[in-house]
Amino acid sequence: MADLRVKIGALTLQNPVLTASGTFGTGEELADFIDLNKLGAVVVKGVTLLPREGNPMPRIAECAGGMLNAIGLQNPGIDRFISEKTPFFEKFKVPFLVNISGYQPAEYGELAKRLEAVPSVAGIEVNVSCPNVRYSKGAVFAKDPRAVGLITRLVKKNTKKTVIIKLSPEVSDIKIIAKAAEDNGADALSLINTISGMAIDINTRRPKIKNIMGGLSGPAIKPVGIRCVWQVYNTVKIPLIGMGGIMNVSDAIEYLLAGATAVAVGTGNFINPAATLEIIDGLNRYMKSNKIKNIKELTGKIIL
Amino acid sequence: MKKILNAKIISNKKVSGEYRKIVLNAPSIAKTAVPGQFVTLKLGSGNVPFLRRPMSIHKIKPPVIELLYKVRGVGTELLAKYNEKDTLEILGPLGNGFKTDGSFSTAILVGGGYGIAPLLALHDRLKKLDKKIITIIGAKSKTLVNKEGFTGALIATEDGSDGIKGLVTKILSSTCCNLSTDSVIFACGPDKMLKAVSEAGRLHNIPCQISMENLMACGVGVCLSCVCAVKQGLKTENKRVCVDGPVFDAEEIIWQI
Ligand SMILES: Cc1cc2nc3c(=O)[nH]c(=O)nc-3n(C[C@H](O)[C@H](O)[C@H](O)COP(=O)(O)OP(=O)(O)OC[C@H]3O[C@@H](n4cnc5c(N)ncnc54)[C@H](O)[C@@H]3O)c2cc1C
Ligand SMILES: Cc1cc2nc3c(=O)[nH]c(=O)nc-3n(C[C@H](O)[C@H](O)[C@H](O)COP(=O)(O)O)c2cc1C
Ligand code: FES
Repeated sequence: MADLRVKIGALTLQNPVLTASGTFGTGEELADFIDLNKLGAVVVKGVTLLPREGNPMPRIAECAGGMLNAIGLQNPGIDRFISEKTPFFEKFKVPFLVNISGYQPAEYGELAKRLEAVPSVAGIEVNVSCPNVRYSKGAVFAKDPRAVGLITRLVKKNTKKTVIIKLSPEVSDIKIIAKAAEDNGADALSLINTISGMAIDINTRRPKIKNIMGGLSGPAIKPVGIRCVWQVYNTVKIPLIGMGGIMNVSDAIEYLLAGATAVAVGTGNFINPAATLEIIDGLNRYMKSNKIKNIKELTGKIIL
Repeated sequence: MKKILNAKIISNKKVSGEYRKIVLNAPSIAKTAVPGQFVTLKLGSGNVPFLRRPMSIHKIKPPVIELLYKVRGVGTELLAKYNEKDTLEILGPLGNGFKTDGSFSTAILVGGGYGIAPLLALHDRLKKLDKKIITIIGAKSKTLVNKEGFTGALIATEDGSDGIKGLVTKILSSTCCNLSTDSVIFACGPDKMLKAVSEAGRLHNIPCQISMENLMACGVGVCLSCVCAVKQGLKTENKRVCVDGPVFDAEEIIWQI
């Protein structure tokens, strides 16, 4: 039997296949199709300090090989999230990681502190890269290595749980941002978040999504994700969780070869809610036919 | 319980005007589905179209379900090309469905365009419950009216090519005036129609259940792309049409059109 276990911070995951934040709810909605306990980990929808009603409709547009979304981080706020959503986590042995977003660096620290008190939360994924949210100075934290460093420090100060910083590909040099997160104590990095895009209905001449711009996800962004993982793999020592356009096992293996320790399936869940489980089976088959004993033997093993 | 299954296609043919009907062998879905629920279809084997397409369940006849559709884009064009004996990957049944357990005596069904699709399953259910049924169908013109299965349907077309000239609300208003109070309106169609029907319901003090058709990415409640604003006490909350709906009590909805 192939060994699929991977280490992300303090966590040992039974396999390297995760769900990407915002594409799987808390897992509750998909429990009909999927035995959540078979996953590497569940990464749940982004949560903020205060409740957010999200962006106006329409929030999505289909495009070639993917979709644009501007959900706008609709969520019930951290208090209701903890009281209403986290009890569900206790029913499973699979680790649940909570994705957090903020508008001020201090909010990230506060969110980490609240989650530190919840035993069923195994770790925190920090979204500094959501392109739908405008921060106080009009910039996205993810573009600024000092902001990313500061947020990483604040989160680490407030929790002993595993901390993963999620990066945006929309920066001039992703290596600098990745290094800033690592130098300030990040246990792992997730990459990539969506890439901002836009689409126009030629009959009405209106933007297809009300927010005008949205985040592009799906197969269309996979080459960008692979490139980012490869660049960052050659820069930092902490493990990487690769995502962006993973639909099947070959996409997942591509990310591993580029340098990812684990992978996350996002938009792919919408097309096939069982995609994650099929990828786990596929990894087992690939390892068997290629005589690979340990999944770690694939990470970064691209041949140049 | 929601299931993904490869349903065998029994037939896929033109029915009337611009509508087509696909009949699928889907035992596990047909067994538990209720009128107003929908399924999502994975069309083609590649990334075009990328997202699954939601379709209301038009008829429930275990082990079979039927879907009614109109070709109007890449997904439905592809759907029309599926042949007998091919399989189609469907996921369902999804959503909540219409509530038919009340003590009403008359049901008024109002369908606009392909919005009549879920109303046939409802019609069959209400007949079994021995309710009096009045069906009102609206469309742009005659070729977009599908009355198959509905007995004595009243028709309104915008160009007057079938039934009266005008909107369904014209028929609805005159119908409502002559009704006993224990009636319920069930409506599905474009948002503008649903809003007008809701207003007519309120005016005549008739409760109204409406089925919404917002754009969907996942269909199972995880992506929050399909929401509509709903009253929650004094507050509003964005609810997911795919799991909290598609059927809502018209009074709950805060219209944004
Ligand atoms: C709950 C639900 C039930 C539905 N039931 C049926 C049904 O029983 N029969 C049926 O024919 N269609 C139904 N639809 C709509 C159907 O899913 C879309 O029409 C279909 O996605 C169009 O696909 P397409 O690829 O052919 O067209 P596309 O190329 O995707 O689009 C063609 C045109 O249709 C419009 N459109 C696409 N999706 C929707 C939508 N969800 N609502 C309104 N307009 C849309 C687009 O804006 C565009 O103008 C339903 C939708 C929902 C959400
Ligand atoms: C509808 C939707 C909602 C998302 N919500 C979040 C979120 O709340 N927090 C976050 O960090 N990323 C969010 N993402 C980004 C995904 O987690 C992922 O990074 C991105 O979509 C790329 O992967 P994919 O191509 O497999 O979807 C969202 C993506 C989609 C499509
Ligand atoms: S379509 Fe994804 S939540 Fe409704």
